[in-house]
Amino acid sequence: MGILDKKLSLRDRKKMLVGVWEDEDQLMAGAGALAHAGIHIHDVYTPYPVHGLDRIIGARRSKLARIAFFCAVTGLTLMTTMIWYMYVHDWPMNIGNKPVRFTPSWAPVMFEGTVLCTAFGMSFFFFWRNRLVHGIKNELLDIRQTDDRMILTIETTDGMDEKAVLDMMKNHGAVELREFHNGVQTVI
Amino acid sequence: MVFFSMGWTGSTRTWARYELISLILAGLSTPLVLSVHTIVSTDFATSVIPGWHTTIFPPYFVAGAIFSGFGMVATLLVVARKVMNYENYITIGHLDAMTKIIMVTGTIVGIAYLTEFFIAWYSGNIYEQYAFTNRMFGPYWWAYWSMMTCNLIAPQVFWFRWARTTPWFIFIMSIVVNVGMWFERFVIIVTSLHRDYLPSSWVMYSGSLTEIGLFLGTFGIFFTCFFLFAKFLPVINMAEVKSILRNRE
Repeated sequence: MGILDKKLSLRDRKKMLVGVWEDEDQLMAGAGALAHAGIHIHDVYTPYPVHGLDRIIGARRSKLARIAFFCAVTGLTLMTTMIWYMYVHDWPMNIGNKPVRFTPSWAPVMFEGTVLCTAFGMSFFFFWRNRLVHGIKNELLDIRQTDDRMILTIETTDGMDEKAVLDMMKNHGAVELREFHNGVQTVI
Repeated sequence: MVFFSMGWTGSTRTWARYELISLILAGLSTPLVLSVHTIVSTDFATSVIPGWHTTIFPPYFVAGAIFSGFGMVATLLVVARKVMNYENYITIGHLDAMTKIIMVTGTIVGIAYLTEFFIAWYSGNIYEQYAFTNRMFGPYWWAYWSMMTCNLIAPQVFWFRWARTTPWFIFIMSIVVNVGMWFERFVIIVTSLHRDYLPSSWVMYSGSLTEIGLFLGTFGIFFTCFFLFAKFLPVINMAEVKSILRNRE
């Protein structure tokens, strides 16, 4: 589970700089400044979606729409095959002398099958991609990150001026600064 | 809580995917509602029964579903917002908008009733004409006129702003809408079936205790699920409320 997003897991991170914000506008400004300075932002955890943040941190465009399309094509194909097998191949019936071949009367079943497979496929992909499973323990840096705080995390690299990064976060409205090292957080 | 939270962290990428999946599901659900109710209506319309075999049924049923659905939601919402102190989240503005939709869809349903009646007369089909005469003046005339009153006439009160912005009145009207839609289904099924082409087959219908019990049972199962949901799970999406709040110094 979570193979694709393993590199985003906190468990495998050695050292991270963590900034805590209260205001989304200041967070956006801070994230923009950090990204502009060439600092790679690991992730931002917010209690609600902040529009534009995914673009700022360089998150790749989601493949969900492509998955939806392929699931739709799968559903359409499955349902068409089902109707063809039942109504043309296996047991054709003479209903008011209507033709036993593809007709618009197949359209509702095909449409419903498309929607069904799309909805299920997208949902399963969403849960799998985001590593959401019943009973799994949340990897929370701060209990308030799903309440009223926004957490920005930067994974440190060799040669990074950590003080400059922390100062940049503070200057853009971070109310708390922390270090996350081998699973232990220290307030700076 | 661990069971329901499923490992949610609020990651930006997760939120982006969440919004995308919501958008796609909403885009799929709208034509789904239209198609489902169209197909359900054609279960009737593709038959030969007078009163059923008419092309107005698909838009009639789609509008009726939205009308009935908004009526039911208004019934639950007016009570829930009061009991749970959510007046600041489910505002009078929301109720105002819902009553406008109730009025519009109720008017569409009313126009469909008049269209059916007009086409029955205009077609010259004696069986179709009798079906509507029977509905209006036959042994189930009370059901037909209840339907017309509740679905076409009653929602017209929502032209008045006072009516749209008074919760207790909206609650009463939403019950009227629910009753009206029940009568619509009763009229469609019972009046067309109890007297169709062959007079020797004409019968009177009344509900058995089993049917009444089943009907009450559906109320029971619905309200059980609704109350369990309202008690144990968040009724309002907190993230959507937070996203429209502004932080102030």
